[in-house]
Amino acid sequence: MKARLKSALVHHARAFISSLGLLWRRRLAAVATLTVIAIALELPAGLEAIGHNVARLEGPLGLTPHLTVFLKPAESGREARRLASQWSRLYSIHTRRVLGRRSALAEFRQWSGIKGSLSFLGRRPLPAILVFSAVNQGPQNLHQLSQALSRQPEVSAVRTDFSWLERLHGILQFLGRLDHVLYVLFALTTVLIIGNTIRLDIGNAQDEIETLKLLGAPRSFIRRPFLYRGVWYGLLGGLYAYFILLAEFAVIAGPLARLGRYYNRSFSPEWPSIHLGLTLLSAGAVLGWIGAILAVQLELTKRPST
Amino acid sequence: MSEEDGAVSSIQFKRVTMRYRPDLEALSDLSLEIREREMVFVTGPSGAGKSTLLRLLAALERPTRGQLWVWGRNVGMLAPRRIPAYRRGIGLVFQDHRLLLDRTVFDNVALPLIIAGAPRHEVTQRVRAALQTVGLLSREQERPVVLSGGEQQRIGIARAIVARPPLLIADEPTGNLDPLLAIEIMRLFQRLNEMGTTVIIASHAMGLIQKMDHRILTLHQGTLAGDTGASP
Repeated sequence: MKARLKSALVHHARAFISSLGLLWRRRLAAVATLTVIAIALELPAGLEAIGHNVARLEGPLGLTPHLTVFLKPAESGREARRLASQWSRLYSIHTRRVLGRRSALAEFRQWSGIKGSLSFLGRRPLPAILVFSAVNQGPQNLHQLSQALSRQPEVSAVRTDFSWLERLHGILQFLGRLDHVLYVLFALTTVLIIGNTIRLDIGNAQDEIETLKLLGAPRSFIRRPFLYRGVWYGLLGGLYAYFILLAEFAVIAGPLARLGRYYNRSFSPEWPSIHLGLTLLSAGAVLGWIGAILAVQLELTKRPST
Repeated sequence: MSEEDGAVSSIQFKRVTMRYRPDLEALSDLSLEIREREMVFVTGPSGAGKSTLLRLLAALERPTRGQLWVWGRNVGMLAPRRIPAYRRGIGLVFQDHRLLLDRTVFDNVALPLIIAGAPRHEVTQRVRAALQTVGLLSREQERPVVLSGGEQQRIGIARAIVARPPLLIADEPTGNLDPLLAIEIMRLFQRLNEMGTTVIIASHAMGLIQKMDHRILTLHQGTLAGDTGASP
């Protein structure tokens, strides 16, 4: 039993390595096929990597949404500071500014340039104002936060400035969905490319297949090299795609970094990770395996058995 | 018919008819027996049914009627998934050699052992022994295309015997060879038979066959027209 298992493992290893040898022997054709597979795998992965960097620019671009809370006129500056501290903790938001009634009036006077007219409005005509910023919160959360603050008894009104955030999130969501659609389409393309390549390989190996059948090779033995060939196409295609992605980033990293630094001096683009590389490799291998299975099923079933 | 009845002889054709088309009957109601360790020539004119007889033995075809028993198994009733294992018990030699031209002589001869899952050291040992038997050990790393027709046929024979099958079937193994090489190949089959292998050879080279002094089955239009020189 142990010897049989060892022998089976040796078979698999032999088929796996000899499949790679066959790609090497037909390297020109293999490179052409691998290039197509690599582009099909790289396109959605590249879009995702670029999208990821654009999303990272959201903070540095100064696109943090703000909520301005106007308290009721009766609330004092001290009460405003207490509420700011309490709500910051409660809702996980940052307090950007707290303006007491006096400070609000002073700031308005300076900003509006109507010093004289304001004296007719009484001693402290403006309410205390709290300005919060909410980092890494989606539009849905921000709406809920705004409503929660509006319901507070001390609050007179809440102003928000995140309509732009909704638009940005809408664009990012659209790109994300588009990326998913591209993943599916290009995965299908990869399966078809590999499947068709294996189908042609099977066609070219008809004499060998017939001979193997005459020598008593079981179906699994005949299928095995083609399945491993599919895996190799996928693996190497994934690796190739990762290198294309790195080359692409080498070209765009400079301009992207300059763009980011206009908004944040410390911004540097995030390169495609090893994790992404491994994902491309494993996805390629699985897609190659699926393509090869389809081709083998189709070709070895339809051809007359010896 | 029980399996035990079929096991009396190594090979039994029992009223076998093989029809490729309604109007094309290759074998008609053929009955014959071949014992273990026997060497048999099957001869006859083209279209007599020689190749069909061998194809039935190799489970490449199923009889239209009748039964073919080999080692106690009804070959015509073998399930498709059992056929590869059955074929691994038979050494097949073809007129056109059927060698894989992109592999070395060693790799070609090793194929039946690799299919059977033999360990590496055993593959090396047995392939070298088979190549030694056919006198081509020195060519093991060469590609078949650089070998002569006779050498290619000997590689085919080495591949057929490497797994030490109890039955060797050869279809016109000397068809493309000059007379001297043909005699050499036939002597090789004779040596293998002396080592205990049942050998069945289809050939229309009557002159050569008669020199070999073995049983000769003569087919004519799908029927057994002669059975001479049978072993006692």
